Amino acid sequence: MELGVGIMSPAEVEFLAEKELVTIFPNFSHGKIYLISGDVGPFVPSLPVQVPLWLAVNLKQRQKCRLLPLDWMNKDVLEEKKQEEYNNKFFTAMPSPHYREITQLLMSIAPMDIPHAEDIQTLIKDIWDIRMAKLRSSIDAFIKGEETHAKLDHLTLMEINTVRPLLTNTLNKLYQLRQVSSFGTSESQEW
Amino acid sequence: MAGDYETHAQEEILHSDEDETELTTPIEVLQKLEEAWLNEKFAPELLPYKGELVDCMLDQLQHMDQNLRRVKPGDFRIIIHKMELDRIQFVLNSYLRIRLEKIERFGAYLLNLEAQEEAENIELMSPEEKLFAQQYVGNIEGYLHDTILQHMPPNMEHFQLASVGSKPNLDSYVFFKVLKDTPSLVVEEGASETRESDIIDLEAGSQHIIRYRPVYRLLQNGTVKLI
Repeated sequence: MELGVGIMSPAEVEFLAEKELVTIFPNFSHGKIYLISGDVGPFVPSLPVQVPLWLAVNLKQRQKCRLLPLDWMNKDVLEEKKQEEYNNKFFTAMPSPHYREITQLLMSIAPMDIPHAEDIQTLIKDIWDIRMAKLRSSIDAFIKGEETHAKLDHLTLMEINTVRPLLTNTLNKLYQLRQVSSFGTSESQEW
Repeated sequence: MAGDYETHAQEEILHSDEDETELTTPIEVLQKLEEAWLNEKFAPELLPYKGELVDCMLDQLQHMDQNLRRVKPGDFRIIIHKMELDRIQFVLNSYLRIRLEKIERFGAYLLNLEAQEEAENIELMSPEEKLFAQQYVGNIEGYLHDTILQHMPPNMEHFQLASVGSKPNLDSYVFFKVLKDTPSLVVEEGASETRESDIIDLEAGSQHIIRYRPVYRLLQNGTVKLI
């Protein structure tokens, strides 16, 4: 695993996504479990209960629960979202800050629990593609405009992460070059 | 139902007597630790050591580990608690390793800085990290002396590692999220006549990409976090 200053691996982004809460229907009963990150349970068969995604994944893998799809994991909602993202010049707010990772994880462990799983996966990918295209064109404008800062509201961590190394390195170099050239001009004026 | 093993999961576990006396639950400590981890990861320089958070979380981990030993093998809860412990351990390890990486990179510079900061009462490095930095820099200096400097003419044998060692680039770009509203941050001084100073207002919840230098104070007082 790559550790490093300024570098985040996709696995680490997924690690953060696994803290998001999801609803499960357990098929066992158990009292509350007192985790350091908060209590979960009690678990009663067939009664919905909220747990962090990492726990849901584990329980599902051991066939101890059924997953309730998140409310945005719905064809109509996502179709609408896709259209909105397409029509809007700016990034729109996503239903979850980890929409891509969560979809990916749930689809790989519990495709049977999610109606229209394949369509949903396609829609999420479409939305991702629209957003990445937007991101690329705004980076292009940002760099050509020699801006010093940019606002990136509603951009999710996974999206930021895909452009992070290239973008920050480029901007750092451009900044250095600009410093050198402005130093050069002010000096030539003085002399 | 045996609820005998864990007891004080969410009572307050940390008193900070100095500034605000706040009661902190393990959940909050964990959140702060994760924030500190990401800040450390993305900041170009070494940030002050969050010793309180680290010690507090280590206590929690140890406590939970002891509790788990008392539970009979095969208990349903063990695997879940173990998973959680592993997740927290990962964050802790990653935090400390990133710090070590920075210490290796900027060792001589940090030791100089540490000497200045001591007066200001800021704990930049933990005692262990300081020792590591001293030994690491000492080894490099020793190595340079043995392989090169001792073969140099006497007037060139003196050499300060700090004067040539690498320093963090505070002008690197970082991504951050605003936690508290902050009006008029000067992003770029109007250095040349052609450009005015760029000033922006930071709204809570908004995200930006900016050079590190204008925001590092905001990072240290918790107004923004790096993402």
